[in-house]
Amino acid sequence: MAKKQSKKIAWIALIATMVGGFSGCSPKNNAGNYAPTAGVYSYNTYTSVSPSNWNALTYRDNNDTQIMDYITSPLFEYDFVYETDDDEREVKENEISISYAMATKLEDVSKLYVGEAWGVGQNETGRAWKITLRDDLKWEDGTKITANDFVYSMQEQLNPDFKNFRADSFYKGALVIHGAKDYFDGKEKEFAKVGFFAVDENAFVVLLDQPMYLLKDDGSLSYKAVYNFTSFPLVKRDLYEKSKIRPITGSTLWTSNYNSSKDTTASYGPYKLTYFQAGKWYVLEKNEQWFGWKDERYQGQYQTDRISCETVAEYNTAWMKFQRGEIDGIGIDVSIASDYKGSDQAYFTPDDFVGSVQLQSSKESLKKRESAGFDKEILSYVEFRKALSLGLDRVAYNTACTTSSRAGFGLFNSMHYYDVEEGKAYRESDEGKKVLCETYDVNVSDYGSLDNAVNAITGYDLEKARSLVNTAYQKAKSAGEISDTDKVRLTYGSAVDNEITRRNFENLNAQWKTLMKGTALENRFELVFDASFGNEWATSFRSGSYDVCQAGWRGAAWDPGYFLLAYLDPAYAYSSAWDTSSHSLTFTMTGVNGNGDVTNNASDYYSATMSLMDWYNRLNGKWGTGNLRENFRLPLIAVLEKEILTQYYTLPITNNYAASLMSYKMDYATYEYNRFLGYGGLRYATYHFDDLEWSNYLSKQGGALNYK
Amino acid sequence: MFRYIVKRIALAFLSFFIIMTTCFFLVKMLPLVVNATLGQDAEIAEAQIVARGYRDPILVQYVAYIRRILFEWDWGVGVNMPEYVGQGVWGVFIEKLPPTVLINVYSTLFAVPIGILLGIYSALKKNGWQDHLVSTLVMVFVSVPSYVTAFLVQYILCFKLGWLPLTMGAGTEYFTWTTFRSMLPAVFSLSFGSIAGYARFTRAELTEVLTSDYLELAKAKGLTKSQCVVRHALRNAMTPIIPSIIAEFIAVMSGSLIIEKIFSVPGVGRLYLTAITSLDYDFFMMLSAFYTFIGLLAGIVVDISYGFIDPRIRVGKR
Repeated sequence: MAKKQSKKIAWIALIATMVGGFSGCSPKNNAGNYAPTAGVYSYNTYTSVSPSNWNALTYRDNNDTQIMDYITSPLFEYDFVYETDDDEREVKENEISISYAMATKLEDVSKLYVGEAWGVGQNETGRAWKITLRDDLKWEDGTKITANDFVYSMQEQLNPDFKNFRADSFYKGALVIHGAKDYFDGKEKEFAKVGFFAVDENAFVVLLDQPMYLLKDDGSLSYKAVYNFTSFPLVKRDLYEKSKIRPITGSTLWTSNYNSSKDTTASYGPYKLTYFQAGKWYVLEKNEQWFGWKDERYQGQYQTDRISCETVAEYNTAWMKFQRGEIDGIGIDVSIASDYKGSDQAYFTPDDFVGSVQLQSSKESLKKRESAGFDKEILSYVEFRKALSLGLDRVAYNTACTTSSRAGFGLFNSMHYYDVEEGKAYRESDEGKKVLCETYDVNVSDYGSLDNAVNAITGYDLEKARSLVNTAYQKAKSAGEISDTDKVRLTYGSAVDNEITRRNFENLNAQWKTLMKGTALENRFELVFDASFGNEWATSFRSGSYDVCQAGWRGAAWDPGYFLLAYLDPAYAYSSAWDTSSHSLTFTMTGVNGNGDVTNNASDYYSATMSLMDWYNRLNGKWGTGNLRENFRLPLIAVLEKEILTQYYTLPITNNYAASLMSYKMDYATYEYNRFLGYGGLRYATYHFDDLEWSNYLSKQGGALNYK
Repeated sequence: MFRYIVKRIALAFLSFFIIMTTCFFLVKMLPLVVNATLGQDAEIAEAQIVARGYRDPILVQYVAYIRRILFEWDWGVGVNMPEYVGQGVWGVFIEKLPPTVLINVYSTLFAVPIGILLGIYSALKKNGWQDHLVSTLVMVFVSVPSYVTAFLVQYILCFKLGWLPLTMGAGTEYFTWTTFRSMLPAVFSLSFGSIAGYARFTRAELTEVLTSDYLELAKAKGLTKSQCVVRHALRNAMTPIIPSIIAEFIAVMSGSLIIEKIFSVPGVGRLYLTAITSLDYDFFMMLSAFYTFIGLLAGIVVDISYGFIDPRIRVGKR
C-alpha cells in the first residue's frame, strides 16, 4: 500500500514539476520576440550563417560585417543627392555627395613631415594626411572617443603577437602606412615610428609610403577619401584589453574575443547590440550616444528603431517566414523565380560578381589522371577550350540556372569602373568593348558600329565550336594523345552535391553534349559530377585534382587594374599552371616616357615586351591609380583582359543580378541602383507600418501575404 | 556485478584513449591548406598556422594537447568554424547542448508511450483491421525520411494553419511556454519515426510473447486477459524494448542535423560536420571526445540495464 502511494506521489511530483516549469515561468517574451508596439519600427531579417566575429581587426568575411555595419561609423561617407519636384523629394539617379561623418576636416600635411624620418620628399603631396575628429564622439557607454583611440586601435591591428587578418589592409595594396609592415613583422619595436599618430586629442596623422589624393582640386572630399580612408579600425581600449586571450598551450598566438558577444561589444555607430545568441539571433537597437542623432544632416534618416536578425539556414523556412510577415526581405530563389520576378515588390540588384567556368590549366595533371580508354589532355588545346566557350549558350544557362543573372562575356561587368570620379564604367569604354568583340570573333565592320557589334555578341557559335573541336581532336590524335576509340572524360568538381550544383552541372553537360554532335567526339564526351572536394574544392582545382569547376570573383569593382590579380597571379588564379611570368606581351603605353616614368602626357609613350605579370606590376605600381591618369591605364587593362580571355581557361558565363522581394511594410529610398549607396539601405529606409500596425495588418490578411 | 562494472569502465577508458589518439593523428595528417582570398595576405594565414603550432611534429602537438586537456581543461578555441571563430569550443558546445537534448527528450517522452500503446493495441488486435491500419501507418512513417515529415509539419501546422511558430524561439530560458511551444514542430517531426519504430517493435515482441506456453498456462489458471497482458506479457516484451529506449535517449545528444536546420534550432546537430569540413581541430577533438564518451557510456548502461529489467539475466554468473 505504502509502495503504491509513494508511486502516486512520485508521479504527481513529476507532473507538477513539468507543468510548473512551463506555466509557472513569467509570461515575459523570449529574447528576440518583442511585443508589437505603436510608434516602434522594427526591421526583421534573417541570415543563413550567424556572424561570430565583428571585430574590425580580425573579421573574416562579409557575414561578420552585418553587425559591424550598424555599430560603427565612417570618417567620411556618401549621401544621396535629392531633387524636389512638385514638393516631392526624390533621389537623383547615380549622383552622390561626399560628407564628413566622424571627421570634420581632412588636410594634406605632407610638407610638415618632409625629411628622412618619414621619407617624404620636398615637393611631395598626398603623403601625410591629418584627420580632425568631431568633439562629440562617444562609445555606447558615454566614454569619449579621442584620436588616441584610433592610434591604440591601429597599434593593436598591427600587433605582431596577434597576426591579425586585417593588418595587411594597411601595408599591402593602395594604402601603405609608413612603417606598418615592419612593426607587424616585429622588425620595428616602437609604434612611434609607424606613420599613424595623434597630434592632439581630436586629430591624428596618417603618413603613407605611396601618395594618395583624397581631395578634389577645390578642396572638397573625393570619393577616394571614403574608399580608402574609411576603414581605420577603432576598438574600445578597456574592453579590448579585457578581451585578450593568452596563447593556449602549444601555441604562441594571442587571440581576442572582442566584438563576439553582447558583453564584449562596444558600439560607436547608430545602433548597439542589445542581444546576441550565437547561431540563433541578434538584436540591435538605437545607440543614444551616437553623434548623428543631434546632427541635422541625419534628420529623417535611420527610422528603424530595432534590427532583429534570426539565423535561418534553410531557405524554405525563411521563405515561409517572409510570407507570414516575420521577416522583411528575401532573395528570390530560382525555384520560385517565375512566380515572383514580376512582383511589384521585386527589385534587382546588380553585382560586380562575374561567374565563370574554369578549365584545368595543368596538362601534366590532366595526363596523370587519365585512365584506359579515357582522354583528358585534349583540354590542354586552346582550340578545344575555345570550342567549349563557344558551345555555351550563356543566355540559356542563366535563364535555367539563375533567378535573374545575365549572360557574362568578360572578366568585368557593368559594375566595374575604371574612373569612378567621372563615372566611367570599364565595360562601356571602347577598349572594353573591343576586347569582347575580339574574344568572340565578332567583326565590328559587319555591324556598322562598335556598339552594335557588342550588342550582337552571344558568345554562342555552334558551327565554329564544332570545327574547333575537330581541329583540337586532330592535333591530339597526331600527338598520339587520343585514339579513335578513346572517350573524353572531364570531371566537374563541386564543394557540395545539392539541387543548385546539380542543376548547373546538368546544364553544362547538356550544352557540351550538344556541342559534340556532328564532331569526331560525338557520343565520346562525358562530364562527370564529383562533389567529394568539399571546402577544399578551390585548392583541389588549383592543384590539378579535377578538370572543370564554376567559380568567380567579386571585389575591387572600382579598381579593375588591380582586380586582374585574380586571374594573373597563380596564388589566386584558378588557372594556376598558366605561367603569366613567362607569357610575354608587346605593348605601347602612353602617358609615360621612354624610361617608364609617368608624365601623363599623351605624346609620351613606352613600348616594351615583357611578361603579363611585369605589365601587371607596372600597372599597379608606378603606373598605379592616382599617379597615371585613368585614361592612360585603360588600354593596358583591356589588353591584359584580352590576353586572359583568349587563353580560354576562364570562360565568363554570368553577370550577377540578385532578385529580391521587399516586404509591404517598408521601402528603400530609391529602387534605382546607385553605385555608391546601392538603394540606401536601412539608413534611408522608410516604413509604411509601425510594429503594431503591421501586426494588425497581418492578422487581417489571415496570416500569409501574397507577393505575386 | 561490481567487478563487472569496474572492468567495463576500465575498458571504456582504454577504448576512449585509443579512439581519441587515433582521431588526433588522423585529423592532423590531413593536409593543412592556406586559403587566402583575393586581397588577403596568405603570409598572415600561414603565420597564424605556424604560431598555433599546427606545423609542429604531430607528436609534439599531441603531447601539448594532452597537457592542455588534463591539466588546464582547456579545449581550445574555434579557428575556422564560420559561426564560432575565437569562441571557446567547450563553452559553445555546452551552450548549444540544451536545445538539442530538450527537443530529443520531449520527442522521446512523446514517442515512447504512444509508440508502445499503438504496438500493444496492434498486437492485441492482431490481423484485425486495426492492426492493418496501424501497421500501414507504421510502414509509412518508418519509410518517410524525417526531413519530409519536418517539411510537412512545418508547412501544415506552422505555415498554413499558423498553430505553431515556424522556427524555435531565441533565448536560453528553455522552460517557458513560449519556448516549449516553439520546439513542438521539431519534436513532432522527430517523434513520428520513433513512434512508428516503437509500435513495430512492441507489436513484434508482444505478439511473440502472447503466443507463448506460459501465457496459455496463466490463462488456464484463470487470469483475466488484461492481467495476462499487463503482468506477464508486457513485462517480458519490455526486456528488449527498454534498452533500445535508453540507447536512443543517449544517442539524442548528437542531435539531428536536418531537423535543427529546418526549424532553426540552435543545437549541436551541425557542429560535428562543420568542424570536420572546416578542419577546426579543437572543435573536432572536443566533439569526438564527447560522442565517444557518450557512446561508451551508452554501451555500459544498456548492458547493465538488462539485469535490472529482467532478473533472470545476471552478468558474470554461469
